[in-house]
Amino acid sequence: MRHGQVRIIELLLTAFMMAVTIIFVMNFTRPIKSIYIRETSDLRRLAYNLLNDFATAGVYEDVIVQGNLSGTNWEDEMRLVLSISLPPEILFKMEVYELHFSPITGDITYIRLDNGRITNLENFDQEKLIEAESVSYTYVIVGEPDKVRGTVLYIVLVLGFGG
Amino acid sequence: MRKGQILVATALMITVVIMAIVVSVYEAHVFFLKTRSIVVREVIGSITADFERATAVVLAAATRSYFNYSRFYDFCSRFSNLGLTYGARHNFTIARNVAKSYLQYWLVAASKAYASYGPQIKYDIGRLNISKYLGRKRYIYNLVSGYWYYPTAASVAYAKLRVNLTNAGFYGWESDIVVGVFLKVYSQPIDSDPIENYTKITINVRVDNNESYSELITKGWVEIYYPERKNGRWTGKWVKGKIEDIKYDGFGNYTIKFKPYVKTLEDSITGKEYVPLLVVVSDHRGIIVEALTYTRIVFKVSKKTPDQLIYYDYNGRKKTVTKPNQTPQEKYTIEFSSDLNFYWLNIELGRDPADFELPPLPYMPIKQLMINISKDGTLQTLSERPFQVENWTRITWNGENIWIPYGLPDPTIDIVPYIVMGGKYYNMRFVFQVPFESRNVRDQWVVIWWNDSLDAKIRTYSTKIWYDESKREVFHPLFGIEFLDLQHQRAWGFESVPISNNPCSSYFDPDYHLKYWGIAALVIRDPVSGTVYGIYNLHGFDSWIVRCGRSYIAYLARYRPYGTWKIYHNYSRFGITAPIRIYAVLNTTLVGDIYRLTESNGNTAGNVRDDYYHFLAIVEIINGTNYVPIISYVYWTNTRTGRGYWVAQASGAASSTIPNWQSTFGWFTYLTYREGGYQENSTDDTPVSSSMGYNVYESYYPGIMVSQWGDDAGKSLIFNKAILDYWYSLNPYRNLKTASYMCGSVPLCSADFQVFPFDWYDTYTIGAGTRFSYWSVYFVYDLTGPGWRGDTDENGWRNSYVYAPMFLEEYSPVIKKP
Repeated sequence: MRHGQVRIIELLLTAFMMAVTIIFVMNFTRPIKSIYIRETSDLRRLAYNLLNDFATAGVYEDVIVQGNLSGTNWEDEMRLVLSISLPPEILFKMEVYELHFSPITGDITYIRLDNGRITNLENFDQEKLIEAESVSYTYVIVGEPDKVRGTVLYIVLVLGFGG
Repeated sequence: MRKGQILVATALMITVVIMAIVVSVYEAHVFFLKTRSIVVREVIGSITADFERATAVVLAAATRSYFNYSRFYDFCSRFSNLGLTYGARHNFTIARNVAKSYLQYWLVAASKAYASYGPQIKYDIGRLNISKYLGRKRYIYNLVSGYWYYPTAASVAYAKLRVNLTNAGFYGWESDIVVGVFLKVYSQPIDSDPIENYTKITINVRVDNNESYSELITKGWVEIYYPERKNGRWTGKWVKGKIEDIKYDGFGNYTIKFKPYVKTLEDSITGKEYVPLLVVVSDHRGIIVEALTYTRIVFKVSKKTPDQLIYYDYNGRKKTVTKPNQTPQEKYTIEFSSDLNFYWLNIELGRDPADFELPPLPYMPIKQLMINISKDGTLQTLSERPFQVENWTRITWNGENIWIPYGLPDPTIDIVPYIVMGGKYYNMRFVFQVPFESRNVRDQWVVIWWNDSLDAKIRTYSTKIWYDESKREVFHPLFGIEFLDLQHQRAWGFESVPISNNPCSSYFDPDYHLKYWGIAALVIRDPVSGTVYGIYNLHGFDSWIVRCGRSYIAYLARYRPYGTWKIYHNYSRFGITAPIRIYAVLNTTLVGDIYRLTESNGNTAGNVRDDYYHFLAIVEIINGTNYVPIISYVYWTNTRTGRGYWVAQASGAASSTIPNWQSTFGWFTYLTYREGGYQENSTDDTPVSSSMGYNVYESYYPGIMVSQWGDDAGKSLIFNKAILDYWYSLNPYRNLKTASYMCGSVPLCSADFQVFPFDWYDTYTIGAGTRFSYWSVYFVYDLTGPGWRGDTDENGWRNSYVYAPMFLEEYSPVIKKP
């Protein structure tokens, strides 16, 4: 074998080894931002899954609708439902709005239904959270009673970890 | 440069290139993580689920509104600002537009709610084939559709949802959204017991993508309606059954036991048995579907008229006359009431067998209904025929219960079997025509069925009758009938004809100037030229005798009904002309002295009175027929004595071919009652004609028919038999009379019927409380052509005689079990 050919083979091996080393390092090392992304996405996923589960279970009709129709303190009941549905370390706050459509102007107005106390943390807005996610959700009421069927709820749920 | 440096540089370059590739791959990996991080799946899931809910809500609104807006007013009225009003409750096009408007708002709301993801949400409308489930070819189109009133029924919405989340770089999500409820009712009961008084049936409920629905008991509801039974018959009304037990059998099947026992019927065409039930199901989202265990109501109409008739000629010889082979004029205008009775000339028809029962019409809007009738008595010739719906009420009229029509309903309203309100009974009548175009056809099939689509439009049918309000005239191809009354006191075109107040003047007679001062009468005209053939006076009592110089003039039929006609000619909400018949109703307590009114120039004081008789008349102008039934009810409030009593005066010929009164050759005949030594249906010494020297022909003992005819056409008045018996019993001398002014010698050739004949020297008295009802049928005929015998000259009347039994009680058609 001539001297130059060995060099070329060495060269290719060196380049290959360097590339493989970098790929291995990349695979075994998380991206710098990924920790943050993954954890907040879990909160979002949790929030949406929770809201969807509530929808399937008819919680909005049973708690929000019945509460508003009967004038009872439905916010406490909602807070209880959220508390028992979420891990204890998660802080939450829910806001509930009713959407009104104007067929004349085409405008949508938001009417807040809750009293701002569907939360497990006093002064939620002033608290410093390490990680938090806010998701918004629409829910068309399909269950009884008839006089609210078709109402569109707009729900904002904030989940986070305390500081 | 040394030899090894180039190699090292090359190695570095290769490494840099590989690194660049690796970094790109890494970026792609990070991007994937970012995409996952904003939980695309959950967002898409949330949007899709809420779109399904929004679609379910609009479908619920459309179906609840269609089923019973009033009952679900709380819900349906929420959409009234979008157009879903009570008046539009059975307009699925409007419901669909409401659905689209609502979904448009929802799209805006969802776009705002998920704004951080850069959503692009829209839906496309497609077509979904649901034939497999329904067992008939049906599609969901234009977002929402419903197919009800059959044993398999469905309310379904279908759309294709498309979502992009641009901020997530997520594009092209598509999802078929099918929201709906499918209901199948098994027509035969699985068990029933008349002693235990229960019925047990099976239904199958599925939702959305043909998934079994297991929450009917817990979250939805089901109602079963059965036919109400009163006095041993079904009334047409649906009554909610008492559900005693519901059992879920899996796969969407439910067994329902309810009270009471409902007897089973048989479909006459297929022979399959069914228990007549109506089942309504709602799922937890409020979507309603209505199913029925049967798809049609089948029966036969059987004619009873004879093919051969007998009469006795002027020599007393017995003659027979046979119907022509083709009998297109034998067309019955039958009314099927929503409380399941049949009528012809306002009398209830018999059934064969007597206990033949029909199930109720579905609880549905009128516009769904359709009628097929055979042409030659076989199933093969069944085809759709026009029909119209009318409102009728049974009133107590001077102590007697009688049926009168009061308009045509809005065809978009629900069929109402009957309503009892304020002591009155209301129902609807579905009016259709059963033709017997051939003499040999004795039975015709009738199938009442319904359009299962909630998109069913109001059926419009062509007709040759129409009403001109400006002339107050109903036009028929054979004649025009103008209604004179308080509102329209003078025949049109006669405005400039002079009126004399002097009874000795030839310009005095109201039949000359046709100013009737509020007296209710009919003016018969040529439908094209408007030429007046004459007046049809409904009723008249007493005569007014005036002296003119040395002689006296007797003005006949003095006290006539005075009032205003109500004319019902269309479905007023939509302006659709009544396709079968236009009818007018006169209901008055007043009579007017037409001659005194003329003399006093219309002064009603003392000339319009309420102390003679009350009069109610229903006049029908019927498309495609040659007859005009005039059904009358009379009640005498006071005892009165007078000269003569007329129950019909019909002037004029009956065709535009005889407008030239001065020269037309005219014939007259009548058939006798069995009185005065006459056989029934003897022609006495008629036919007579003006050419035989008669100006006026008068004779006694008239029976079912009087007739006048000319060269090619004629008219007959046909009376029902029962009233003849009564009238002959009313007249102490039993000398009823008919008179004819012959065509050709006087301007009007008239025929009349006198219960008490006019007499210069004698009077008759009618006692207070006298009451009777009768019909006179104004029948116009040709002498030759299809459906006519071709008898001419002295035998011309026989062309109408062969059809006369149609209008006699004993030959009324019968509703027959096939």
